[in-house]
Amino acid sequence: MVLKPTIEDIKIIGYYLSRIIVGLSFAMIFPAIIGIIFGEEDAALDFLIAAAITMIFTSILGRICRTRKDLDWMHGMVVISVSWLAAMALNAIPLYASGHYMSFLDACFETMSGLTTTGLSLVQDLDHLSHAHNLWRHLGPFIGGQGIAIIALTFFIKGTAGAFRIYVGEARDERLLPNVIHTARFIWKVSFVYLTLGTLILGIAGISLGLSPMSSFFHAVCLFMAGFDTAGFAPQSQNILYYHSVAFEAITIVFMILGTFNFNLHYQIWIGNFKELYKNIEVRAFFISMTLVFLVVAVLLSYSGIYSGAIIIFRKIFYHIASAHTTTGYMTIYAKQFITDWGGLGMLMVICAMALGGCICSTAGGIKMLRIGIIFKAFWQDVKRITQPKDAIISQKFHHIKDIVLSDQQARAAIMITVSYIVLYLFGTIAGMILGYPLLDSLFESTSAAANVGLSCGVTDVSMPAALKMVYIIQMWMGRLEFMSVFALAGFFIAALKGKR
Amino acid sequence: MKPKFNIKKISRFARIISALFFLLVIPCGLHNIYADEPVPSSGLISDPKKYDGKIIYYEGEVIGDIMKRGEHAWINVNDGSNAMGIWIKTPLADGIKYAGGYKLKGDIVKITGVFNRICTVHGGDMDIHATDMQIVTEGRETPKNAGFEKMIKAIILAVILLFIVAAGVMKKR
Repeated sequence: MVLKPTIEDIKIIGYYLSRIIVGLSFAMIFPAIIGIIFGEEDAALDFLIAAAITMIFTSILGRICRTRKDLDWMHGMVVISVSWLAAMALNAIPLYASGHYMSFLDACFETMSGLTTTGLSLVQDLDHLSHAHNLWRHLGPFIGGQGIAIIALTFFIKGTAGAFRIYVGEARDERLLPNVIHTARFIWKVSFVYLTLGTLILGIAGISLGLSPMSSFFHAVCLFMAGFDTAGFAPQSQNILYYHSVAFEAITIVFMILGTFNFNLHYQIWIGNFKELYKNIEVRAFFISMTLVFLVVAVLLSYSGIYSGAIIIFRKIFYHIASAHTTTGYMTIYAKQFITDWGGLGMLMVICAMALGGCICSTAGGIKMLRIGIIFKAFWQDVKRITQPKDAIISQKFHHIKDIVLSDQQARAAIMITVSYIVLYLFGTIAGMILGYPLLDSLFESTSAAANVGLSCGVTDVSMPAALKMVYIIQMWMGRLEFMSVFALAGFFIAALKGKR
Repeated sequence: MKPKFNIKKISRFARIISALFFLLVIPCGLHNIYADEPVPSSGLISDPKKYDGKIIYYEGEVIGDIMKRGEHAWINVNDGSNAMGIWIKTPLADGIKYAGGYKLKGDIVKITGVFNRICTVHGGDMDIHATDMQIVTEGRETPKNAGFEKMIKAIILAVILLFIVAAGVMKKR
């Protein structure tokens, strides 16, 4: 029997929603400061207004729904799914106020794309956008990549059992440390250490490429946030092509790969367990898969005479395969070149790389390498079962932080999420085709949105139908949260409509 | 008396010259220079084979940074649809006064150069190697002062927020 949610349930959800969202209003202070530093008072005002609206919203919601009760699983999941929608709408306020978006929907698309670390963009005239708004575009991935809830867990929510439910709701099912609050703080610590190092490296590289020091460090901080958080936004409309530099491309590849790794792997490296780097099933699966896709595309495009020479193959083929597989979405070609130069098979291989994605408990999207590794191991176990004598005991192990014996439950969970992703990819593809786009273009863009990649073959554009923009927003949201929270929200609404008191 | 100019000889000479012109000069010219009008970036991107290796005109606003790399520099020129990388000699790039950004409208330049669909010199980038650059319109500063309406909105919201915070503090006491 399904029970109708009570007023108390709604109050719990509302109260924790206000706790999570309040962090965003504080985050808006940073671009406001940047605006003042760069003499962009008009832009700074956009952020002060948006921060005030967010604070008023969270204060009123927090007061109305004040409760001392802790979250149960359903509350935790619903809070997270609603938080991402609320964050999208509130974060879009300053972007829309910039005047660089055709509609509020476009601004919402941009913020959802940023928060989910996708990187598809509907901004207009990016090359004239203020530093403050540009920084906000890139802060989105940094906040959303680590997790909106991670901010709340770090600063605004006490370490209760409910805290863990919020953490899990954001598609993070691994605790690095016994306490979830300590885990959240570790994730921030790692991110800030990398942010400092990454900004320094990219900043110095930028100066050597001819950028002014101020411009170089601004670009560096933006590119690092979007690269490490596998978002793929860049401060200029040409994305990484703007810099015309092999050094910049090589550095961003390193950050993309670091960003796609599991935070648990970062923790192991942090505590000196370097063996994990080559023993971990996710890392192995990621490099095997990326190498295979790269080789196929390299042979294909070299044979067809499109790209030739090691440097060009590295800069054009390897870069985009790494960008797709890490689900970053950085580009050094124009979107249409996927169609004109890469052709059908090339695009299909990029779609495969995007669909597979990075590692779990990272900022990457897609099906994820741990699941692919588990499915492969389960398949191999079944092959062994067929070939071995009937009475033979077949067990399959894999290494992920520790040695784990593969269970049917793990295999089933991996297959279930994989199937859900495939359905989500197809949902966007069908929507694209209904709205008049060719099959391959629709599949490419849909996979890019649902796997939170951000590579585009030209479908994502201000002129695309509003319905398709909404479909991609839903795909980005569901892909980032890995379904469970969204299913919980759907269940909550069904219970509210059809449940019994 | 013989005439000073042999008409037959002149006519034959003229025919040879015009034949050579049609055979060599016109095809070469047609091959290298695509059109007198600037080619839009959308045309270059959607049909790159058509312009690959040809001399084209490209016009747009210089945006971002002028990245000097020794004797040459990279500039990025946006024609309203897309920005295209231009590899240009540094002395030519030095003539650019404004590069577009927030509060800045960059110089509008007309580039003459060779379009490369996949530039073998620059790692496969789609770019234009400029041979000449003309400044069509000089850029300018475009000041954007804080709007009065926005200021009023910010003040009203700040007052509401202060009221809510104060009410909360009073309730706690």
